[in-house]
Amino acid sequence: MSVRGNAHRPDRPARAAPVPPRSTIGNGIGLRAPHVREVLAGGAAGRWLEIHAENYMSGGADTRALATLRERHSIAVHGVGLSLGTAEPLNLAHAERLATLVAMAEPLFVSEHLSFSGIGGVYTNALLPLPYDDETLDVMTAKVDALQTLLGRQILIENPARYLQFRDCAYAEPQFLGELVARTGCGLLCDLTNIYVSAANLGFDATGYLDVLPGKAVQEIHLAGHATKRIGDAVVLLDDHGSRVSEPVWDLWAEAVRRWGPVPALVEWDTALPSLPLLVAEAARADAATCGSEVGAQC
Amino acid sequence: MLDLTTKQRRLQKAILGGDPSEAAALLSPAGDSALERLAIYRNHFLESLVETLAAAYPVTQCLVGERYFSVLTRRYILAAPPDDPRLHLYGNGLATTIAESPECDALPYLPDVARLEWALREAAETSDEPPLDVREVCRALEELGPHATLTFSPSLQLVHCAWPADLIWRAHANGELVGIRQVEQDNRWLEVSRDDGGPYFVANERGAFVLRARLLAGDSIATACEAALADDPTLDVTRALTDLVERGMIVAVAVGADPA
Repeated sequence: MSVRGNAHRPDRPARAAPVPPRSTIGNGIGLRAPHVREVLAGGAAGRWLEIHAENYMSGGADTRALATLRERHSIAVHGVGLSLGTAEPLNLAHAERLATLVAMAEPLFVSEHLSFSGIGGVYTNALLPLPYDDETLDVMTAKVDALQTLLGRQILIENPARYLQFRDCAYAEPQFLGELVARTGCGLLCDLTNIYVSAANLGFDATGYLDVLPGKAVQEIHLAGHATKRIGDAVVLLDDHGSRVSEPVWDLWAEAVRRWGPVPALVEWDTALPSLPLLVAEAARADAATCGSEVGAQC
Repeated sequence: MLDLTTKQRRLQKAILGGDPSEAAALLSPAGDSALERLAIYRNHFLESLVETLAAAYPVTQCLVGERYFSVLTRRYILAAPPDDPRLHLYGNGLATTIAESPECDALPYLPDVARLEWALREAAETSDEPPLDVREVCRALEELGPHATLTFSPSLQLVHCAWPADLIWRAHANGELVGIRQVEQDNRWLEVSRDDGGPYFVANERGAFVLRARLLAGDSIATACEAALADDPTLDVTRALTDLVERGMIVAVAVGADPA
């Protein structure tokens, strides 16, 4: 016999709530810890908030805050820890934690990365590049399938910022993502800053990348500031999320909107975090860019 | 043609500080450029985790200074990189690295400060369990008797320090750390937990600490009280138990396993 208090544990829904059409969702901000209190107090927060999944898995103060936030705002859950590209089976314990969070937050989108973060029980907290070949495609396909089955919903896969690439690649990145979409039915989170940064670092054409990417699968866009670093004779662009979105990335955004129509966009800002109003204003610029476009004129 | 596992192990080895040449040979741009760009990933790995540890150990960082904290934590990170993507769980064990670092000998209280900070971090990040109120505990104890066992809030941590880590922590919180010149050894029996205001700690008498430690280890109330009174015959066990109930520390009462 025992006596225990009454804990509330939400059951996982069998199916996710339907996501509204992407043209009606508008643009959001990445919610970071220093802004949580202000948003809870009613500060302007854009049309929706994206959280990093791993920050809300402890049961601590952040998780309790999320229970309140989700009653007032639409949420997107962005995972950084599943390391889907690792040549190992899906980390089921972590996927279960993500499933619990998703059941609680009932997010608009759930996303993860086209990358690996460690192997053999190590987690490097980095989004490391993958060799884009058939073996990696098989690994990613199996993991995305398993995760979508576990969550009972579609997930979005994000293209990473790259400073290096594997030499022996059978696919360019947008081709690889297209194959992954065709095999799994996953959606895409298209990070335009990552495309711009990777294109500069690896010498490909960013607009040409958009030509190959399956636009209908793009459910969400990420935008962020980047930095530059001189290495020897070369200038390397760094995806540091530490400033306003650069004009060339806004140009790429306009190009994406022209091709794909209005897609919910999110402004990420992690280092040198600005005030909440400035962050929201940056996201509002994406609204203006959407509505100023030929396609976006319908919104 | 190397398989994916081998490619990823080589890349990870370079990130963790091993010879990067095997990884660089797989990558483009080639040569020195590959090594320099691998360093971007490696620096991100180290710097982001130093930042994670600084958030968990602000007092420790303040005591040793930012520059040495970076040296100390990089040593720790390379020896024990994270094995879990939940970075709020990363950092348990920094106190051991500090204790094993000869440069820290001049600050013998530093491992205790780090252990207290880690306990506060753990208390902040644990899940909520609804506590039993006084009436529920009394009713359960009437039914189950003194051989009942108690289950505590997951946030409860016990920290015994040979140095006054709690006073140092408070001095930091009050902006008075720079005034600390000499620290004398002083056993401190600390209980760390969390309420609506966040994580906190209180200093216990030794007997009350023993009582909590035995209960936390799964001893029945009778056995724990006996052990605590043997340690400190003046302990007011009723007061010590009531304090736990009143602060919402008890979440379950169950039949104990030890003999009646």
